[in-house]
Amino acid sequence: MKRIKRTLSVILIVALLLTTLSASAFAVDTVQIEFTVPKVGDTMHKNGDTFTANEEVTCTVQAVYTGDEIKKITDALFETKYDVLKTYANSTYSPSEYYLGQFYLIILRLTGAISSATTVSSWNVFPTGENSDQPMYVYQIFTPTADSNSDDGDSGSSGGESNNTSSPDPTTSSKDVRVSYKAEKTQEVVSVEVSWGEMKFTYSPATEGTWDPATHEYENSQNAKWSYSGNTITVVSHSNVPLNATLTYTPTDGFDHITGKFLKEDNEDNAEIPENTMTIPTAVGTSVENPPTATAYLILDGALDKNTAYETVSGKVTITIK
Amino acid sequence: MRTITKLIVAVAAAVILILAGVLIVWKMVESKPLLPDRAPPDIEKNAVIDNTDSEKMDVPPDGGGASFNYAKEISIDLSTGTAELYFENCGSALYDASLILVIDDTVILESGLLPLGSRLTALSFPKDSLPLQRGGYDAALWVQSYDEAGNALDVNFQLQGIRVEVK
Repeated sequence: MKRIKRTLSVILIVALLLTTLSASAFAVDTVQIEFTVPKVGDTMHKNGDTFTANEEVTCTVQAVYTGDEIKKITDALFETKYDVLKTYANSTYSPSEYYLGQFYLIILRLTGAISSATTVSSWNVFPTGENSDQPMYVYQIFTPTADSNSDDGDSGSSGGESNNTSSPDPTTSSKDVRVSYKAEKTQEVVSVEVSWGEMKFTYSPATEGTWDPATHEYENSQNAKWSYSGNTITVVSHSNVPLNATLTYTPTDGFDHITGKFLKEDNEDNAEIPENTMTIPTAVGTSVENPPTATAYLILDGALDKNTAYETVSGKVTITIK
Repeated sequence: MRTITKLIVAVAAAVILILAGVLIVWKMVESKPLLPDRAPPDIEKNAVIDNTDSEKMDVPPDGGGASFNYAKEISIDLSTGTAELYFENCGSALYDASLILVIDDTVILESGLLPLGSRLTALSFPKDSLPLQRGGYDAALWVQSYDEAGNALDVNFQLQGIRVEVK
C-alpha cells in the first residue's frame, strides 16, 4: 500500500511538472534592449558581419519589430503548432537565434507583412551586470534604400534614380511613367426595408353553436380558429445583390404549443413559403419606385388557454437577411 | 503486482480525463454567447446622426418598420482596438436599433444605441481583448430594435453573410 501511494505521488508530481513546463513553453521571451531602438524612417548603416551580407548596406527603417511582436505574428499563423516550430530553434544556443530570426523573416515575407526586399539583421547585445556573458538579440527589419541597391554598389552616389540605366543628361531630366491596372472590388451594399402589420391574433375556441328548440340540434357550430389583424411581413430590397429573407416564429415561454408558419398569400389553404425563405432579386435594373419586394403572411396554430391575458406576447419573429 | 500496476494506470487515466473534462467545460463556458433581453444601451459614441429628416416609410396600420443599409465586410484591427464597418439605421425607419456582431454563436462586439437617422462606421474595443486571431471569419450582425419607450421589439433581425477580416 505504501508503495502504491508513493508511486501515485510520483505520477502526480510528474504530471504537474509537465503541465507547468508546457505552459511555460508558450511564454513570450522578453528581450531587454540596451541600446536606442531606431524609429521608422531613420537611416541606418550596417557593416557586413559574419551572420548577414558581407557588403555594407545603407537602409531606411520601414518597421521595427520586437521579438514579442514577431512571435505574435507567427503564433497567429501556426497556433498550436508553435511548440513544434520551437524545436527547430534552441533558444539557449546563440547561433540558433539567428536562424530563428531568418525563419521569422520568411514567415513575414510569406504573409505579405513585409516586402521581399527587406532583410533582417540580428543585433547582438551584450548586457552589463550579472548576465554579461549571455547575448541578447533584437531583430530589426529594414528595406534597403535606392542608393544601396544601385548596380555599381556605390552607396554614396548622388543623383539619378536607381532604375535608370543611363547616365543623367545635365540639360534634361527624365522620369519613367509607370502604369498599372487595378480593378476595385465592387462592394456589396445591402439596403432593406422591412415592414410588418400590428401582429394581433385572436383565438376563438370551438363552439357548439346556437340551440334550436325546433330541431333539438345546435346550429352554426364552429371549429376553433385563429383570426388576425396585420399579419403581413414585407421585405423591400434596394440592394445591388439578391437577398434571401428567412422568417422564423419563436414562441415565448409558456406558449410552446402555439406554432407559426408563413404563407405566400393571405389564405390558410395556401401553400407555405418553402423553408420560410423568400428570395428577393437584386435591385439592379429596377426603379426606386418599384423595387424588388416579397411579402409573407403569418398564421398561428394551436389552442390558446382561456386564462391568457389580453394581448399577451406569445412569440417573436426573427427575420434573417442573407 | 499486476493488480497494482493496473490500479496505478487506472488512476492516472482518471486524472487525465478529469483534467481534460475541466478544460473542455472551461472553454464552453468561456464562449457562451450572451444574448439577453435587456433595456436599450446608451447611445453609441461612434454613431453619426445626420439623416433624421427622411420621409418615414410606409407601414401597415399600427404596424412597424425598419430600414437598414449595411456593408457585408467588416475589418477588425486587434492592435488598435477598432472595427471598421458600415451600418445605417435609416431615418425612414421607425425605431432605434443596436448591433451585436456574432461569430459562431459568440458575441464579439456590441454597439450602443443607434438612433434613427444614424450611421456607424467604426466600433471601439479594448486592444487585444477579442477572442479572435488574424484571418477571416464568417459572421452575422444581430439587430435589435427599440420603441420610443425603450422596449425591445418582438421583431428582430439577423444579417447573415457578414465577412470579418481580422488583422
